Amino acid sequence: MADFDDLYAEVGRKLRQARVTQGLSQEKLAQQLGISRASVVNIEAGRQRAPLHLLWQLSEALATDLSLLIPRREELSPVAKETALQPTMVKRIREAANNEPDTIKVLTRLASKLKAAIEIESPVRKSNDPRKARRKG
Amino acid sequence: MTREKLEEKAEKTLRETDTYRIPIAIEVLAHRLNVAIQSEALGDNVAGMLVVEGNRGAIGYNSTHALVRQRFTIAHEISHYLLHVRKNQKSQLFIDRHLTFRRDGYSAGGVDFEEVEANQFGAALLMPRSLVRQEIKRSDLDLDDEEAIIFLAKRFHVSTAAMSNRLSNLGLLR
Repeated sequence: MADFDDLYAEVGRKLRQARVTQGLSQEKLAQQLGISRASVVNIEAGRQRAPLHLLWQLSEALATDLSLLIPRREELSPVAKETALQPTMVKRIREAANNEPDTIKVLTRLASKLKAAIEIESPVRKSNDPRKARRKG
Repeated sequence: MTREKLEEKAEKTLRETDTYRIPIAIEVLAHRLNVAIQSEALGDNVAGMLVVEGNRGAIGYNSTHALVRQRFTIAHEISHYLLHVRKNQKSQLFIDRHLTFRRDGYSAGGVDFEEVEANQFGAALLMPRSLVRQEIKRSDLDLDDEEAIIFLAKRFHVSTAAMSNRLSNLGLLR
């Protein structure tokens, strides 16, 4: 990641979504935090980089968790990590897609991304679990 | 699970994760249940998906759908996660193509029991029975007036159709 434009754009997108969910206007949110509406606009657009204390206040004002406003790496580089799917998953996708090639593609991509997201967040102990290793082979 | 059990479980889930207030913060709920969330443009045919590995889950939903629809999809996938994950299976995948509300709570497919249940439970998560009743009372709403339903839908951040179905399923509409 050479610069962090993508990161702040994604933070802004998440903020906007949380704000809309709460039914708050940019104006109202700005007032609550004592900042200008332009700041809210710019932060949501990713043009302005909100410092941690402001993000922290924003998460409170928007009734969300701070960690939900911070993108995970795979959200920023979606193709960076995809994981192979088990045969049962592949079969399930084909069924759900009625064998339509485009739908299969979309579903396969998403499923492997979600699988990757799980594995990133909870490193599995595959290497020292002989049962699983054997079943795989 | 009976309707009554579903209602109770939905409310309990919200209380235990400290998300029992409107509008329900459905993404926060997922997060607190240890379920990752990711949005992506999925074309017209796919609403969302749930992948489960062991005791962890991840939900993907269609970012091109209207926000209220995205919320419904997330609630639907959370429902699968809480109700339909089989403990002894390592990996599981739930795929939801067209999720639509029907008056009777049945999905477009209508035949799949788990889909019907996920729709009911999802509605109970986004529009908890007691909070709906409380809001009607608090704002002194006359449900014969369509404006009242629109108002409620806005408060709970759901579509008017979803709210209308919910009120009807709760026996609050004539």
